[in-house]
Amino acid sequence: MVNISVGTALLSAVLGYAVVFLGIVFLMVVIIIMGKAMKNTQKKNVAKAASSDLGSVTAPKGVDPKKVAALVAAIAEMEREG
Amino acid sequence: MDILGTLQKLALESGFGQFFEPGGWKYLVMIAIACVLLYLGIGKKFEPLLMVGIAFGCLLANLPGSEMFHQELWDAYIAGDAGITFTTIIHEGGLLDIFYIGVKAGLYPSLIFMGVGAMTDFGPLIANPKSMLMGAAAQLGVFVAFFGAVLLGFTGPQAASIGIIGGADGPTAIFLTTMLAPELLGPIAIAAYSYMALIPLIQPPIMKALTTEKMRQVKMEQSRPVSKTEKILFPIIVAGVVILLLPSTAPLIGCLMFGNLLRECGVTDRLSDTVQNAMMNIVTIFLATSVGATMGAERFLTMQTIKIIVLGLIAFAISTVGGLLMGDLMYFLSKGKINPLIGSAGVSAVPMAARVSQDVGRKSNPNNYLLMHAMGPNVAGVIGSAIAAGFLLSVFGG
Repeated sequence: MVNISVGTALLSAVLGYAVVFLGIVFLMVVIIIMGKAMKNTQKKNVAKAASSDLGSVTAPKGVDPKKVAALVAAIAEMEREG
Repeated sequence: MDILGTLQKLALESGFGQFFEPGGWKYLVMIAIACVLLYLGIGKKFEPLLMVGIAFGCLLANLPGSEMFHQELWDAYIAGDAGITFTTIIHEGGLLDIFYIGVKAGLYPSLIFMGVGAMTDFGPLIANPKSMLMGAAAQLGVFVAFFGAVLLGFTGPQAASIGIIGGADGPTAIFLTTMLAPELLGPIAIAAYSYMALIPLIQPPIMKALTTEKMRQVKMEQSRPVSKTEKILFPIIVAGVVILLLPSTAPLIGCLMFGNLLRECGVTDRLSDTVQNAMMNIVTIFLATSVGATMGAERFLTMQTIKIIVLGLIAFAISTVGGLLMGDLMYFLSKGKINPLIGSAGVSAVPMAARVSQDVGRKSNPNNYLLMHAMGPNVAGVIGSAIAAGFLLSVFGG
């Protein structure tokens, strides 16, 4: 395909641009799915950590146990990330 | 012994003597051009890491009698002359012919892409995948310039090589041109790297023309944090998906993502360091000097070179327009949450184009920090230009 007509060039240009977009959109969708999968996995891990740590922690008197659970889960997550 | 005759013979056979032969003046013109390029690289700091090497390669190849580069050997190789192989070139060629083997084999651009991958943080892109659309839109200049080149009389492969200048990616431009139109490598490399250096001059007027003051003032929300696991999975997934989609992108995308994996996996720090530094520097030296050597007088001093320079500028400008138009669309669709200025960073001149988005954004709103947001489209543009090159290679590669 050395010497090409103007029509063929126009078609190639439009097709090429479309291929770039399609490729990028496909990749974008895959990355969004990967991001969502990672987020779900992290939520499950945090929930697991919160439920396993909750049993070993007693809330001091006058402190909301839910707040304690949330703090413990956050600390467990930080330790995991670090 | 005829002393005068011997001296006369030495003078005529010297490089100086060859300036006075028919067509010898062209060497002087190319030497002057090499000096101008050296000034641009050293004095004006136009992409000096490449420009200085290209300029000096051009100088060495155009010193008559140096025999550093033999265009006729490469013409015979490209024409498929059975007697000319890389082995022949090693035996019969000069030093720059041997350097050029790496260009012709597609080795240097791929290794440079490996270094680029090792230096690139894809975090902003992973955090905001929609910004990849701006990287795709910014490839508009590639295909407009390709079409324009065909209208100006270039063949399909030549037009494809000229069009890829709009991708604003030096290694991709060199890779594609070497495969499709090696006779145009010199002017295309010069155009690509010169315009990349001129991005701070080319882009701002277009950015101001295609956005309003209100749009430019948009402050974007901080992107979500990206985990180490995502950064490790990203290069593996991108390499797999893109190469399966378009196998001709394998050398560039494969090396880009391998380099990135070396950086992100955390267990190959030594390799990552080597790829980003020593290897990249060595390959850059060989690539730049051998590309410069292809700028022979016969090939460079033609109307074709002027057309390439003009088309290259058009490609760059239209790529910026494409990215900005997508940025404008995303601004409207997101109800004003996305600053359209980051669209211009979709041209893959990393990180220069992202810095320009930051600078123009801060002129409208001094409290606006767009750099990390602009890095998303900027690195997406690298992938986009590699896909564009892969498409053109599969259509015109034969």
